[in-house]
Amino acid sequence: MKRITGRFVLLIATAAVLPLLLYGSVSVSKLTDGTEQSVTRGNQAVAQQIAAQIKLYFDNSHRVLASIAGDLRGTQLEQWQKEEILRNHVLDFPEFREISVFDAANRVTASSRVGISTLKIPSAVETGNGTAVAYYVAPPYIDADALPTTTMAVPLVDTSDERGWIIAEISLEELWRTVDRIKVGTRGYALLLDEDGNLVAHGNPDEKTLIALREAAASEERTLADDARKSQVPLAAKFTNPHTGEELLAVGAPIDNPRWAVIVEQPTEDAFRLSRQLQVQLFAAIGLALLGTVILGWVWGRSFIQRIFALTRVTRAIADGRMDERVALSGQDEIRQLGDAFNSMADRLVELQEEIRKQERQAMFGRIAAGLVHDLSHPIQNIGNSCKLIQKMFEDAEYRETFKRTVERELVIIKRVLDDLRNIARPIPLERFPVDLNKTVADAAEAMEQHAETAGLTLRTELSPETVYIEGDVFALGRVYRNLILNAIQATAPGGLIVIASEAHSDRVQVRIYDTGCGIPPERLGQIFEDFVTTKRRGLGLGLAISKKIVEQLGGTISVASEVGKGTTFVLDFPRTSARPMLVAG
Amino acid sequence: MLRSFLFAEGLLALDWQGRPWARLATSVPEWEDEGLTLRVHLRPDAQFHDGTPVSASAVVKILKQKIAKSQTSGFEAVKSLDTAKDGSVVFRLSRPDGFLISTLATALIIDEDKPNVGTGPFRLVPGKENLEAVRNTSYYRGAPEIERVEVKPYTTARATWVGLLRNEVDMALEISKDSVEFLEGAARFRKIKSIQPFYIPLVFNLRNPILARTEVRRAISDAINRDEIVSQGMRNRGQVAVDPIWPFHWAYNNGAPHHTPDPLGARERLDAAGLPVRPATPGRRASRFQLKCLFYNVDPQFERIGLLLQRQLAAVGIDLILEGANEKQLVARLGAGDFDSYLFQLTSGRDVSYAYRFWHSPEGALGQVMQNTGYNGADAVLDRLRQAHEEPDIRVAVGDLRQRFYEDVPAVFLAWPEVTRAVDSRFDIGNPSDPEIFANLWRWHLASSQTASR
Repeated sequence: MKRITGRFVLLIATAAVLPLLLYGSVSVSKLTDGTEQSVTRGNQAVAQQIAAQIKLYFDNSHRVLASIAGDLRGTQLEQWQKEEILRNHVLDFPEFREISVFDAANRVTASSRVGISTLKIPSAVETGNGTAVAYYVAPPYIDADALPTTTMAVPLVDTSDERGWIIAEISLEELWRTVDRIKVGTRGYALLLDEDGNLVAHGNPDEKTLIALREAAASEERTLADDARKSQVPLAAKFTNPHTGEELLAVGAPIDNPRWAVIVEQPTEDAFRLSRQLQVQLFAAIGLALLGTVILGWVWGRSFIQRIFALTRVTRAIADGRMDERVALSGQDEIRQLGDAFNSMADRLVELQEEIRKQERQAMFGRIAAGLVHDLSHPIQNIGNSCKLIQKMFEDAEYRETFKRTVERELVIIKRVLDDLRNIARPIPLERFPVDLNKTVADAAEAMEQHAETAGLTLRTELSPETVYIEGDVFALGRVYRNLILNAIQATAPGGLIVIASEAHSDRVQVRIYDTGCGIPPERLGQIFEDFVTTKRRGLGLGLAISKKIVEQLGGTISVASEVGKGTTFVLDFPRTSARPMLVAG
Repeated sequence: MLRSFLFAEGLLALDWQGRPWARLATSVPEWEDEGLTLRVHLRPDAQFHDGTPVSASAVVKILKQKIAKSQTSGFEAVKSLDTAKDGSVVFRLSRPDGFLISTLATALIIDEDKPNVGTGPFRLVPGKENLEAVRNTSYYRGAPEIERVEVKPYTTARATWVGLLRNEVDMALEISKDSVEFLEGAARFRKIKSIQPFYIPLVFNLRNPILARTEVRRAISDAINRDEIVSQGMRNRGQVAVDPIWPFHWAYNNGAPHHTPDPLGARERLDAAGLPVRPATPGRRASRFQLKCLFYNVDPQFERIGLLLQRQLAAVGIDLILEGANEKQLVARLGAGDFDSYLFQLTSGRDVSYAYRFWHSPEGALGQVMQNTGYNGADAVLDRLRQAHEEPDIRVAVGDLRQRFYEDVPAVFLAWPEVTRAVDSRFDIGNPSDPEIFANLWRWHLASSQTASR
């Protein structure tokens, strides 16, 4: 990671959030387990309460029947009176559909039914197996409407010690109402299983159809009920509802009489909703904390790095030449001190730059002055001397002629120097005609041949075989060649070589002047075409600048390549012209 | 009822308020000649299931078949029945008979020679043990989306509910009152509750010399707490009945007098009637008199109501002896007059003609009447009601009839049961304006993305 901001953020995130994440994960895990256990325990308690409630349902029914037994025992009630008692109880206690009294011979002696009783003594009671308990609830059986129903038998002993039974048909609908009233959470419900694991009641309205269809309870439900009956404590299990595919938290609790079981089922999505909500909230809190920390780190990082960015920006501006840029940093820390130091440095830099410019200006003026003195003192002195002599030899006609030539010659030199000075500041007046480039090169080489020979150098021309024309000024071009050849002669030791060559291309032509001289140091190559730059002790240093100007005015370019100790090559590149010079008659 | 919704139709039908609307007729006919002529125009697009048009001549033929039957009631005042040149059916009456309109709603247009050929949205499938019908694609109101309807009978409403739970049927005509709440929250079923035009009375046999006395009958009516009957006997699934007039009938006025429970007043009336409480004897409670009551024992609801009545009447010294009977036994005993009172469910119909049929004495009645209780206390008003054919006259007659039933009690009108029908939620039954959802069964369709086949 290259950016400080990122490093900053990562640092803070690692230092602050990782511990938070770890703690949060552990908390969530513990919370989930704890909540699920708590919910399960809660549901177990509910199941136990429901089992007690169902037991109470039967206990209350027993109490009612026992009170009937008490009303009937040892009394000499008439048949209609007994029937009235039974019928009033059926009317007042909706949990009974019918109540009938059986004598020891298992004959109906009274019934709440108008007509023949539909009840029978349960077989277990008949065989004496059910007499040990206060009441006996028969295994559910299917009634005429194909619904399960059951009967409750309460022993009836009258004063003559004759045994009998009060049998009541339990209203299935009333039992269902009791079970339906049991709500756990928002979607939990209870169901009743008999001793054989058959469904007797189901609190889920969409699954009551299972009872009508006489479908067995799910195997997990039966197992849970059996285990609860064996252990006599509520047990819990999770399984998937085979009809809906939903995961359920199921708790089974036994009922001892009848030996049924209550199963409380609640979709885990509902049961553990609170735990999951807390989980989500915790994750959200952690997420927010992380986000907050990251933002904070980013903000801090940015505010820290902004000042460095500002410093960088100003540094770049100064590097680009905008010397008046300064950085303004807030704060009182080391970054601020750095900024202040930077500003001081920039101020000093400007001062130094100004000094250097002044010095360069002075040097340049000095050079110009020296060059002017050098170039002008000789002709001015010659003119001065000639003026002194003419005063003495004015009568001498020949001397007057010599005086005129000398003055004219020296004035030309002075004029040339002044022209050069003037031309460097403005376009050089050139005439542009189609010229034969090779001829201009050849003429210049011929003119400088003697000079080169005197310097002990070989001057050679290598011209392109093709005649090439350019739009040029013959005299200006000559000056350029002579300047470059002269520079080559001055830079090359005796025995060296100077070559001037022309090379034609499709639409351009190049003139190359190279020597085997001392070469130009690389640091000076960039300034070689500038005004008043010279390596010579004397002169204005305008030769190459004027040559460059002439070449560029003719639509060409000039470039230089050099290697110290090997030599220098100047390349002039001109566009070719299809025009041809006009032939002058004569 | 299902036949009239599925298979066959009348010229007219009655809406929930007892007002007629056109079915095979193009419009509800207006009385002409001061109530002596009725002209019915027939729909030109209606056809019998065999493709023959429901023409005026066909309708006349069928109605004449009904008129010729000695057991038919409703057309007694019809002097002549003809087709007119404009294709209408013209009834000419010997005397005004406002009930002819409701008769035209209940008389199904079925040719006796072709008993399986109707005009309804479904065609009967002959030879089936249970009523089975397939859709009539040429039905003039639009072909039903449901292809087949099979009616499966159950012995009790409870058994019907179980059949629904077991997925043996898609809809139940009536769910037992004990079981209605178990459909709450069950997404699979849609419940539609409404009061239906049936009421539960304790009907007196006025040939019993004690019951022949108006004050005794009024005392019995005062002794009975109808609210308790509804709450305990019917699990609050019903509303108290004041008289046998359909409470949603357009002419029904809520301002009519009605009996309120007054056991003390009942005792006083009975004392004043010279019916003191006699001491108990072996096998018999102390009472003023015994009253035998037949009840329909196939539906356990009636036994429970009977027990409640027994307890309430015992409180005023009347010994109600309950005796169960199935429908066949009940009809036989009633026909023979072998009863003191009976507890059953009677139809009121959506109009007032049933009041005439049940409560007019046989003597002087116009057509077959159904009661054999010896009651004639409302004959005059019932006759006036029958002859009325203008709305104001009908309103007055209904009000007078209700007053009559209050003053001269032929029965203790106990309750209008609330009927809960249940339909599998796979079916879209729309938003029926008629609480009788089966009236629009031909418009039902499967809810989107559902399939149903059995």
